[in-house]
Amino acid sequence: MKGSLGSLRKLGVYLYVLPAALIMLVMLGYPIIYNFVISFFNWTLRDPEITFHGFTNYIRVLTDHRFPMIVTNTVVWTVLGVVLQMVIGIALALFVDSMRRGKKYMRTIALLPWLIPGVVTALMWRFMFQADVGIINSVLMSIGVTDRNILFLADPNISMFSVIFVNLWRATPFWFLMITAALQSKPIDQIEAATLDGARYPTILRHVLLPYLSPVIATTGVLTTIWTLNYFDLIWVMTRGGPLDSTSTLPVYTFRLAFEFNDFGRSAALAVVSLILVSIMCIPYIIKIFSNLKERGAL
Amino acid sequence: MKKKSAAHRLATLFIVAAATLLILFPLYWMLSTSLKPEAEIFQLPPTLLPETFVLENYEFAWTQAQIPIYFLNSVTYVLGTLVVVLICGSLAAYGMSRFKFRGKPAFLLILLLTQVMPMTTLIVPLFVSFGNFGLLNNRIALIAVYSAIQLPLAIWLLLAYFNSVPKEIDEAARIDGCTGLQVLLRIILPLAKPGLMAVGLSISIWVWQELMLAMTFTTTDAMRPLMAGISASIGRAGVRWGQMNAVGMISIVPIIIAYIFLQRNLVAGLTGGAVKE
Amino acid sequence: MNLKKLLALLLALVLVAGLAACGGGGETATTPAPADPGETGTPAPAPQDDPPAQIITLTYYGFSEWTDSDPFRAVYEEAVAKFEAENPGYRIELQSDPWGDWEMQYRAMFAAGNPADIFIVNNPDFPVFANSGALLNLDDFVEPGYFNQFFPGVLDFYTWQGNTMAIPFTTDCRILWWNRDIFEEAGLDPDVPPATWDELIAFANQITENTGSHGFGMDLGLTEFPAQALFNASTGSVLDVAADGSITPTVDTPEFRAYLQMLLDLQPTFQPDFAVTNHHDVARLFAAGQFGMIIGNTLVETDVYDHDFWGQGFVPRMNATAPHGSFGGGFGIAVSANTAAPEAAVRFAQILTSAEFNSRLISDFPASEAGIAVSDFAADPNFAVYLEVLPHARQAQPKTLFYAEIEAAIHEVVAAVLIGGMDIDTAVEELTNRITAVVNG
Repeated sequence: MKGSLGSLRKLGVYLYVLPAALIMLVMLGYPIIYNFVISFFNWTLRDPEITFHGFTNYIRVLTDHRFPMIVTNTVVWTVLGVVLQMVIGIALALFVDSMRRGKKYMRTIALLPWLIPGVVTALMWRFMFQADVGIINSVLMSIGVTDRNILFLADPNISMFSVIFVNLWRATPFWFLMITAALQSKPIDQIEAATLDGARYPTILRHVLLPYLSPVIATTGVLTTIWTLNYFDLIWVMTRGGPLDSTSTLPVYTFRLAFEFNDFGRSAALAVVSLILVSIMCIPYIIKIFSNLKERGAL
Repeated sequence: MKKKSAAHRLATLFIVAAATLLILFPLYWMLSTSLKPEAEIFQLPPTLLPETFVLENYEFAWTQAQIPIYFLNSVTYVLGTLVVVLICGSLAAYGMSRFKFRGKPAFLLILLLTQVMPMTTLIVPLFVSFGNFGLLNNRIALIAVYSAIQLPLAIWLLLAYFNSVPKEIDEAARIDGCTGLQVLLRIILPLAKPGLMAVGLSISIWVWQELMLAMTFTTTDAMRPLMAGISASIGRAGVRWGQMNAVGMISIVPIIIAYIFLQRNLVAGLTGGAVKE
Repeated sequence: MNLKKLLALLLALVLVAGLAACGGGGETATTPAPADPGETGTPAPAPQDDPPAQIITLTYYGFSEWTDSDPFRAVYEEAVAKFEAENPGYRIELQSDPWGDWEMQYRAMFAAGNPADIFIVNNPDFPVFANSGALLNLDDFVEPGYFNQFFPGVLDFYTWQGNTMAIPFTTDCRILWWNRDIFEEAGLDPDVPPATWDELIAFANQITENTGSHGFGMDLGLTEFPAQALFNASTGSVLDVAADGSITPTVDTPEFRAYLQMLLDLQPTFQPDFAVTNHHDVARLFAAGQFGMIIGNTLVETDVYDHDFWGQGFVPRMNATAPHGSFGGGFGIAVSANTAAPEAAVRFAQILTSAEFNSRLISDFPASEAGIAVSDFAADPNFAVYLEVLPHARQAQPKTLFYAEIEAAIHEVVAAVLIGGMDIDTAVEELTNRITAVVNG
C-alpha cells in the first residue's frame, strides 16, 4: 500500500517536468530528428523527386571547397570572440566595481548594447563602417590615422575582425552583467583579511576574486560560446559571409545552402555537422559545469 | 583603501569617457541619421548634427512600414512566450529543485544540449511540418517555438534560484498540510520573484530581437513582429539608411524604457541564484 | 518508470512521428495539397466559365513594394474589381511581403508545397519552380499566339521544356550615367561618354587622377555577377546550355578574360567596398557628385533627377564592333499547378499583364511594346535612353536549375581577382571547375 503510493508520488514528480518537456520535444526534439532524416535525402526545390541519398549530402558538404575555410572561420569567430568578451567583460566589471563614484552610471550604459536587437546593431555598424560615407573612415582620415579608406567589411583580411568587433560590442555587456551580479556578494571578509596582510590588488584578484568568480565564469562561458557559435543575424546582415567567404561561419553557410541554393538536404547535413562540431567545442565546458554543480550538491 | 593618485583618477576618467563614447556614439549616430534627409546622409564630410532636421523617416516608419501593427504583434509574442515559459519553466525547475529523481542530470544535460542546437536546424523541418498541419502564420505555433527555445535556459536559471530558497521553509509548509503545488505558488515563487523578473526580462529581450524564425513562420503583416518589419526597410535596391535608422530607433525605445524601470531586477536577478550560495 | 526510460519512450515516439512527417513532406512536394486550404474550405474544381457553386477565393502573392504600396495598391484593387466583375463566383485576395522577406517567404512557400494560386516569380528562380512541377503550363489555357505580344527575350525566361509557365510582367536594364561636371573638371568632353571598355578605363582613370572623385562607381553586390551589364555588352556568355539540357561552362573565352582585365584596370578608380553593396548607395553617391560614372537601373532615380549634371548613355561595349548590351531581368506572373480554379487564375494573371494594367502595377518597365507605349515611361525624356537600351538587355548566364549557385561562384571568383590577388588564368580555370562541380552535383 505504502509502496504503491510512494511510486505514484514518484510518478507525480514527473508531472512537474512534463509540460516543459513536451513543448521542447515537439518544437526542438522533433525538428532535430526530422532534420537528421532530411540530411539523408536528395531534397532540393529544383527536383520534384525526393529520394534517399545515403551519405551523399555529407560527402558533398565535407568536400565542399568552402568547408575548411568555414570551419576555421567558425573557430576564430567563436574562440577569439568569446575570449575577448570574457577578458573585457571581467576587466570592465572589476573596474566598475572598484569605482567610488559613477558606478551606477557605468552599469547603466554598459548594458545598453546588449539590449539593441542584433539586426539593428548590424545595420548601424555596417553604415558606420562604409568606405565612402562611413563616419569611422571619415574620422580616421580627418585625424590622420589613415590617408585612404579602410575597407572594414570589404577587405577579406579585415572583415572577420570587424564582425568580431561588432559582436564584442553587442555581447560583452552580458559578461559584464554576469560578473557584476556575482561581485554583489563577493567575499568581503577574505578581501579585507588579505589587504590587512599587505596583499596587493593583483594578488587578491588571483587568489580570492577569480576563484570566487570561476563558477559564474564557467556558466557564462558555456552560454556565450554556444550563442556566439550559432549567432547568425549579425554576420548575415553585415556581410552575408563575404567577401571571399572570409566571414562565412557554419550557420551562415547552412542558411545559404537552404535558402539561396535551394538545397535542403545539403543544408540539413551541414546542420548535423555543425551540431557535432559545436558539441565537440562545448564538451569541456559542459563537464566543468557539471562538476561544479555536483560539488555544490545541486544534482 | 589607499588614497588614489591623480594619475589613477585620470586613468579612471579616461576609461569612463572611452566606454561612454564607444557605447553611446553608435546610438547617437543612429538617432542623428534617422533625422536627416537622404541627401544629407550621403554628404561628405558627414554632419554630426542634422543640418536639415526632418521627421520623414519616422513618418515612413509609422505609416508605410506598418510599424504600429508589427509593434503590437511583437508585444503579443513577448507576452505569450513569457506566460508559457514562466509557468512551464517554474513547474519544471521546482520539480527538479525539490524532488530527487534519477534522470535529473540527464535532463539537465539534455537542456544544455538543446542550447547547442543551431537555429538553422529548426527552420526547414518546422516550416515543412507547419505547412502540412496548417500552422504557418499562426501565433500559437510561433509562441510554442519561442517557448521551446527559451525553456532550457529559463529552467536552468530558475532551478538555481529555487535551490537558493532554503528547503526548511517548504518542509515546514508541508507539515502544515500544503501540497507541492501550493508550496510552489505560496512560498517559492514569491521568494524567487526577482529571479522570475530577471528571467522574464531576458526572455522578453530575446523574443523582441528574434528575426530568423519570425520572418520564416509569419507570412502576413497582420502576424509579423517588429524585427521582421525592419527587414522591410531593406528594399529591392538595398537599405534606405534614413528609414532603417528610424525603424531601428523605434524598435529600441520600448526596450530602453523597460530597462530603465527593471534595471535593478535584471542585474540582481539574472545571476542571483547562480552565484549566491 | 524512471526518467531515462520515459525519455527513451518519448524519443522513440518522436522518431516515429518524424519519419511519418518525412513521408508526408515528400508526398507534399510531389503531389502538393490544394493551396490555401484554411480560407476556402474545400472548393470543387470549377467547370470552365460557369460560376462555381460556392465562392472560390484565389490568392495573389507579390511583394509589398508594388502590391501593397502607393500608388500601386489602388491599381491592384482596380484589377481585382475588374476580374471579380468578369468572373462571378471568384474572389481575389492580395497577399504580399516586403522585399527583404519576400524571397525567403516565396522559397519557403514552394518548399512546403503550398504556394499561392497566382504569384510573381523572379526569372532566375523560374526554372527551379517550373522543374519541380509547381507551375501550371499556361499554353493549355491561353489562345494561340497570346504570348506574341511580349518581348521575345523576356518571354524566353519563362519557358521550360517547351512549355510557357509564366506570363512576362516586368523587365529592366542598366544604362551608363555620367557626371558632366566631373568630366569637364577632368578635362574630358562632357558630351561624349565612353563607348568602349578601353574608353571607360581611360576616362575613369583620367577622372581619378585629375579630380577628387572616383572615376567609376562600381556596385559589386553581395553575390551577384559583378558589373554584368558591362560583360553583356560583348558576345560573351559564361554557360552553354545544349538542347538536351546539358550545361557546359564557357568561361575560357576572350570576352570573359577581357572583362576580368577591364575590372582590374578599372580598380584604381573605385573602391571595391562590399559594404557599399546596394544600388541606392551607389546612386546616392553619384547624386552627391562622388562618382564620375556609374552603371545604374531605374531604381537609381530618386535623387539624381534633382540635379542637371548627369548624362545617360549606352553601356560601353567590349570594342567598337561588339553588339550593344546591358543586364536585364524581370518578373513574371505564374499560376500554381494545384490551384482550385486554373482557368480563373490564368485570367487574373492575364489582367495583371495586360497593357491596360501592367505599367501601372510596377515601377519597372512592362515586358511588352503595348505596355510600354501606354506607360509613363514612353513620354518621359528621363527614360528615353532606357527604352533604347531595353531591347539589348540580356543575361550572361542562360537559365538553368543552378542559377544562384553559379551566380555565387562567378561573384566569388571575380572578387578573388579584384581583392584576393588571383590571376586571370587561375580565375578562368577555377570558375570552370566550380561551375562543373555545381552542375554535376
